[in-house]
Amino acid sequence: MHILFVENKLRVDKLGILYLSSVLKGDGHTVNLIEDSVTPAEQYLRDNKVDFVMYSVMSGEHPWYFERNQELKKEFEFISVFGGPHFTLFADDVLEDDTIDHVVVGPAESIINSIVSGKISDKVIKGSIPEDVNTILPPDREMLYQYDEFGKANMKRFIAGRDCPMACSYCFNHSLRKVFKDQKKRFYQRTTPRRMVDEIKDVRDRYGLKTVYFNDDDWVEDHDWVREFCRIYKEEVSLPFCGSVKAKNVTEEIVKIMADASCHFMNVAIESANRKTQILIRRGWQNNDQIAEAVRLFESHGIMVRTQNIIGLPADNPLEDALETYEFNIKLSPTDSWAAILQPFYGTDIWKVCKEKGYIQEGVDCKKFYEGTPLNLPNKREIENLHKWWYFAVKYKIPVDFLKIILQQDLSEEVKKQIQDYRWEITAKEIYGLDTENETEAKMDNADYQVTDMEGELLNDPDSPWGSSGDGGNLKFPFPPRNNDACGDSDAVSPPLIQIGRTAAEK
Amino acid sequence: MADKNDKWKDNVEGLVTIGGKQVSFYVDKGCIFCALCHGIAPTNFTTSGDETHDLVHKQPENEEELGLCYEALEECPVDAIGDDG
Repeated sequence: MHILFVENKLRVDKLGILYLSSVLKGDGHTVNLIEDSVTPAEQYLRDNKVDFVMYSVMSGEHPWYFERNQELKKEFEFISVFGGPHFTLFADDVLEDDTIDHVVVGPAESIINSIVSGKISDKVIKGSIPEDVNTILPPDREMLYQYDEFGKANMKRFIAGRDCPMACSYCFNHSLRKVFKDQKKRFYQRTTPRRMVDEIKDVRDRYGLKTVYFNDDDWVEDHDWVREFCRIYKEEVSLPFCGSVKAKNVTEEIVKIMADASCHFMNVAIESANRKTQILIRRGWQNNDQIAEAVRLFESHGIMVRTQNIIGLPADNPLEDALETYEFNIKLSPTDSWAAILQPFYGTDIWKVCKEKGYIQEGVDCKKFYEGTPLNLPNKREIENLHKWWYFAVKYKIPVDFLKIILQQDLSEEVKKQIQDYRWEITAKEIYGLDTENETEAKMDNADYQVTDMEGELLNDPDSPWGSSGDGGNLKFPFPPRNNDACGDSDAVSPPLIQIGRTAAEK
Repeated sequence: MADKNDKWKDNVEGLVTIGGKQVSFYVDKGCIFCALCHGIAPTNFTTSGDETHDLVHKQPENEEELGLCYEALEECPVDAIGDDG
């Protein structure tokens, strides 16, 4: 069979579909990937007899994928398969769309070949958490690296493990675990250190590699794994590597081992420095002392730290919460500091909190997480302005009282973009070691994904109450999902029940 | 599986019978304080006073609460919730 993955715009190494491609190719199928915003899928479909078109979808960008698939189905015959995080929560979205043939909920490695071979005919198919990730083939990077911005990139992405045991209320993770609670024992697996190093070496030798970026939520969760990995990695690879950690799992011994193995940068998430807010968003499992110690340990051993923060949280006083977090960042003095504005995706528990507090209303648009807040927060303007100034305010330690004055001044779209671009110029070099004048990947902003309409124009909604954005506009996130009749004032903010095998006709 | 011999002392005690089933819920020291149980069954689970773990602050009183407590038990990522305390 000939399978085509269609992506709107490729941002970073989308490992999920690369793993699926390996599984499909392992069964003898032909698989390819199209970046539709560059090369319209029609062109590929006219030149090739494609049997399956597959889409991996995140919430917020899903309308584009639905519409694109409908458009392609008008001209071409193929079987459409949808997957990705959006359908962990909203598989019911597709039931009345006859152009969608299959949707997979959760990981698809174990069933994708059965779909392609016709052994599974259900419309909604529940995937499966892998029994052993070490039996899964490495991701098919050849499919992605045909694109120079990835293939020639000096920094490439890897993932050592799957899933996170925590239940932060803004993350889809707790919803994923609800769907797969019958497979709880399979969560939290890691590729063995040997396999991980072998994969990195293979990428280095075949495609070139200067920096390894780990996508894992907590790279130091398993200290035994870290010790063994660093031992092998130092001997056989020893390239700079980076990733993310939970501060509570950072010890001096581990930091020394990582530094010795060429770790050069780590993300440390704070989100909020206010204790009450930490517990509200279900991050009470680590405290500010642990965060401060982790940052100190890393920086003092030559490992740069980027702190990650969320502002616009549904705290009692959202602006004061954000400023308390800001002051904590100044105190920590990390190499880099980044803040996102909370986007309370429907189906997450934080959405429920926002609704209970009256911060959210039906039909609200969810912006990209560096645009603005969709919540009716007090001091919303100041929070959105703080987000734009964050990096430089932390870097140059602007006093809070003076910062509050600055936050009264709105920024034009052009100035916002200039600030973002300037920040990227600095951090790309400082954190990632990228040559922004020559590196093709320097054009990519890790925080950016742009959604285009059918003509390739960036979506921009001047009628949105939040205004337009020079960087891509507002992403429509339907509240409630199309087929969930229980939304609105009901308590049905849990993920809709997923009825495996139910077709639109049966609903 | 949760260990009643290793449960946090600040769990509320008490054996209740609901629908013919005798239960006594608790959180043991394997708790990672993810607070998921608190999110599922806030009437029965809460944060400890020292803010280091979750605990049972009220045993279930009816079928609905019992159902939510079992949902929390099933979804606990580290199996730190037991019903045999």
